[in-house]
Amino acid sequence: MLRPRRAAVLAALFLVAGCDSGAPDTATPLTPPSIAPASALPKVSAGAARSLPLMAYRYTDEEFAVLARAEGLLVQQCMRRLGFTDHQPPPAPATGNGWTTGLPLGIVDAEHAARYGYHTPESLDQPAGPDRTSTPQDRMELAVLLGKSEFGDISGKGVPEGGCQGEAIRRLNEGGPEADLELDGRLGQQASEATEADPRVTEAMAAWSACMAAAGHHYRTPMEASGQEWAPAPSAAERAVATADVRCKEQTRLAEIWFTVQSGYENQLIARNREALDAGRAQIDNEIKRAADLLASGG
Amino acid sequence: MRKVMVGLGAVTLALTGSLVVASPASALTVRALGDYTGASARIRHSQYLSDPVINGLGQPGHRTEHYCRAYGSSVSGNTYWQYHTNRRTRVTGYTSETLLNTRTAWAC
Repeated sequence: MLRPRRAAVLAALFLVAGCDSGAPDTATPLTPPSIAPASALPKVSAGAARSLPLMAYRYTDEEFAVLARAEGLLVQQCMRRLGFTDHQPPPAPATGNGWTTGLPLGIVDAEHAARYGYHTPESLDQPAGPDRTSTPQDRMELAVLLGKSEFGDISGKGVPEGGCQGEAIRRLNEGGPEADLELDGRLGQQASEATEADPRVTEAMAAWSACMAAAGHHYRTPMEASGQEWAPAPSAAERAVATADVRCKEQTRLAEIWFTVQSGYENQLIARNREALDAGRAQIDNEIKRAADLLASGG
Repeated sequence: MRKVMVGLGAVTLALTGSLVVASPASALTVRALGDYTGASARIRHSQYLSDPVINGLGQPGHRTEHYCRAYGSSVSGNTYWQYHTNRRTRVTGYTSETLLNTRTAWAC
């Protein structure tokens, strides 16, 4: 057993070293990560955010497909038990986001910019306005699914806590570890904010802005350009700005610098919060295993 | 078919006193599954940017379960929001369609 004074010294060293003590650490300032020269950085393309380090603590396409099928079956059993005999599981998940990086910087695809500007392809495939109207029955079904009385009166109807969705999630997480489900998201936001303030990024951003100005478009950041109130359908002006945006990103390597810097900050946060993040990963692993077992057993 | 289904619904109500009313239920409630395309997507309490309440954040990889679509504040020219659940964090609310890779057109 350590003497109190030696234990205190070691504890202090432990804290100075920034070792993971189990409690999430989002307060200690981050150290700007070392990165290669911009010209040597790997090219960033659409979907780049899915290669960031914190993605290891979120669902892969395959995991979510298994989870969605199992949860769909459990929800269906519950809904039918409560009288919604026609309830069907949802369709297969949509995957990917092939038109944007997923970073705050947005698009890097010249072809997308020229055709869609800052709009999503899906937004142009649908008529203006919803084409399906919810009925009172639809709203009651939603109330039972989510356990939310704002959509319908579920009092005294035997609806489980959190609705049938809540019941399904509990069943899929039985026996699993407790975890902070929002930790990886908070860390991702912290890394993104640190990235936006990093001197290498701000320098590349200024170069991007100068490139845009030379083309006649005056924006401080790509977020400012994409975030302005464009028309419901992409105009020639919007497509011109988006096209210049992508060209200037290529010229300044802004996306590559942002992605590499953010990866460095995320790796630091992962190292400082490994125990809590690993608990989150174990929670996902348990959930997916229970989902796979359920599907294998026929539900 | 509709008359048959209405008849069955009424019988079910009489026998079990369940939630089924005498009209056909829609087959789907979770109408689409997808994911966030933008980092730190706000999951809002309502579809209006004037509502300051943020229920949570969505990140690519968290995955989404979509229930219905609402007309609300414009974001980059798009006025549609998806009422959905962030499957990773289990937070429910509204996110602009500009930050999602799928959508349902059912009205909330």
